[in-house]
Amino acid sequence: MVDPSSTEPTDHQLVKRVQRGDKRAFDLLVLKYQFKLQAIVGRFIRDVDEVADVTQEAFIKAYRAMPNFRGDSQFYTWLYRIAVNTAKNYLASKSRRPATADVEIVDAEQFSNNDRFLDESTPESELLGAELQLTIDSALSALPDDLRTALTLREFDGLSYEDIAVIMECPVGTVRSRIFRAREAVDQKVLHLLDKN
Amino acid sequence: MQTAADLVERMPLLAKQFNYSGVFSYEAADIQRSVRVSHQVMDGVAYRRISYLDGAAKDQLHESAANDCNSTYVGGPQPRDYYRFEVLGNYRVAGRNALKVQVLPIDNLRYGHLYGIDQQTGLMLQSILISQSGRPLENLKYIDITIDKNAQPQLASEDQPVTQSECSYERADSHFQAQQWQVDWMPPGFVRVDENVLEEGKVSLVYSDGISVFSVLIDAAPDSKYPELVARVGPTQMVVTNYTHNNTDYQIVVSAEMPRVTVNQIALSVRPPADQETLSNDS
Amino acid sequence: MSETEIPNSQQRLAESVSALMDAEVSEMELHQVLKAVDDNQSVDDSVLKGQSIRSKWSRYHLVSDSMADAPMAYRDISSAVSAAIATEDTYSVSANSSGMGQIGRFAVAASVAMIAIIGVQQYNGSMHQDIQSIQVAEMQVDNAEPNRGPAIQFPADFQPSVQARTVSAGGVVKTSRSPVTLVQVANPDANLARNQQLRSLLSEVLETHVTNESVNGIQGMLPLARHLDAGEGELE
Repeated sequence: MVDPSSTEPTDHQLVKRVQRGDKRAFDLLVLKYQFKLQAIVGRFIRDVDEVADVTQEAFIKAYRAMPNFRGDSQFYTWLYRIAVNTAKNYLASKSRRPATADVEIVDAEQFSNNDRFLDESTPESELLGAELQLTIDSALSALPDDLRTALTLREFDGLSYEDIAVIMECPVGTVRSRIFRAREAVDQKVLHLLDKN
Repeated sequence: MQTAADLVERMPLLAKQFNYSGVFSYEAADIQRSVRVSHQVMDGVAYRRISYLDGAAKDQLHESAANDCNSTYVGGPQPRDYYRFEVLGNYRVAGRNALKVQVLPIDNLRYGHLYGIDQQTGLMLQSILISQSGRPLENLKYIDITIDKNAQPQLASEDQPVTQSECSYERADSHFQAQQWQVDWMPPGFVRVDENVLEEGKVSLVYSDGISVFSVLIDAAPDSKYPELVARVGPTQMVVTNYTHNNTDYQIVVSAEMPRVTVNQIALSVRPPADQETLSNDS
Repeated sequence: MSETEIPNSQQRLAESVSALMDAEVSEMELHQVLKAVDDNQSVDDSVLKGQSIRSKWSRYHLVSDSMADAPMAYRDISSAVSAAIATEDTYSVSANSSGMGQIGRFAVAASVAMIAIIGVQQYNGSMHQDIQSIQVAEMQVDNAEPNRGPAIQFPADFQPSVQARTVSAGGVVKTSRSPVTLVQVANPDANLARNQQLRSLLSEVLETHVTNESVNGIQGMLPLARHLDAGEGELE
């Protein structure tokens, strides 16, 4: 029985490449996760420049630890944990007080989807986020049905191309093409939005 | 032939029929200690003595009524609906023959267990807490134990389930009880199994699904005010939140050995009943 | 609407980028994409607005994350990281990291960076779902794990069966699309773990809880092992 709440390991191709010596693959991983990771670090640290520095440090630590990543959990999870620890260590070193061993006080880093700190320090972020949502929503609804269906099955339901092909009763190549064209259509509108700002 | 579920559900009932004493070890990721305990039932009262063999914690003696309200009763928790039970085999623990029983939840909202159940008496000799990904979080195990059937007559026949009304956990009490607190959300299968007024302004609620237990502590006059936070001691998560109602700032703490997000969600759903209704009166 | 666009190399590359997002590319395609990353390296002034493969990859993920309501901070640090990595060791060994470790053995490495914990995954129902759902930050994680110290292991003679991994029967709670703020700490810099009064509170709360468990639970007196010393300077 498939666990619907787990995501498939979509990073394994890139991770293997990094472990075999390809730094460009790591660059792609950074591009993929840098915004999310900075949001997470931003729950601990207020200053955006410090957030950028700490996140950068987290990525570097991840790169150094890559040979030890065994692939039996999700790469993002592992990366996430490194980012959280880096942020906490940064705070700890700032206040220079040692942590105690038997009680762990945590804040809501894993819970709050309401990025208070981020909202207060970067109103542009919030605005961009909201505009982006609107743009994406309208772009999605403007898509032809087959493109939208293919993309939604992929993004929301996490189905493989093969599974989508079965559901949509078309070849895998068509699925791949539809998803790409859907993404392109949305991308054009997003580019337009970003260019305006 | 008893099923794994039968075995597990019988345990609290059996524990009341036996006097036992022994030493068990406790291991969690950052903790290791040994504890000596004894359990004796005399004249309808269960005496439990705990002695921590490491560290400075002092000995404790607890007394409680040795009634049947922790066994399966009508309206009580039904763990079979929310967990899968499986006997894995035999092994030895604390010098005794035991059965390995695995109990896994069907959802991600709680943890599973591996139990070692004494074949002769049905008592729990070992308990390992298992996370959602199959990792051990805590290991409690008797190293040494002596068990005697206690001299008291059996308190209830195992064939006759006790009905809820015979369990006095609805305690009519002080004015504080009029503000009966409720927990709006909890994982399916949990039932309130106990309720205590600890002192004026302090209420303790206990919920169980037959395997896992969470406690809710509500304090109308806390010694100190804290920002909302989550604390973890070993596998126990404690979520501290605040709730203002009728000009009183209540402090609410939910504790459980359950996934943090579950405990968090429970904590946020604790309400006095007045807040749950749409009041149309003027105040 | 006609969808027959004339494929050119840039289009084909873009399609590979899309497929790579879904881990559905051949090694050859992956090679082409990575090569393009190299070629486009210095072209952008903004990764989000650029026309390069890197930009496309970045923006495709931006859209995907927005669809999933992931919180994001839109600052591009990729060049800085790339520059830093350039001076790091280049790996040449093929790490032995295929698939899951032996099923049934749950030993976990000790160091902080290597603790394999499943983290936050934000689950969105399909667009066709009508049910109001709460978006809890799902943690399929063992959040009882400490930040440091060795994890415990199953004893050799007392291991779970292969299926000792929770399979979700859809028991995760869902609420409405605007997530409710859960517990949030006002001052994340305070090191509350040493605060005497807080420890005292937690100690008392824990004691009440384990007492409740020993009375109402099925583990007998075992839960009483859990305690927290309120005072300072205690040793485990």
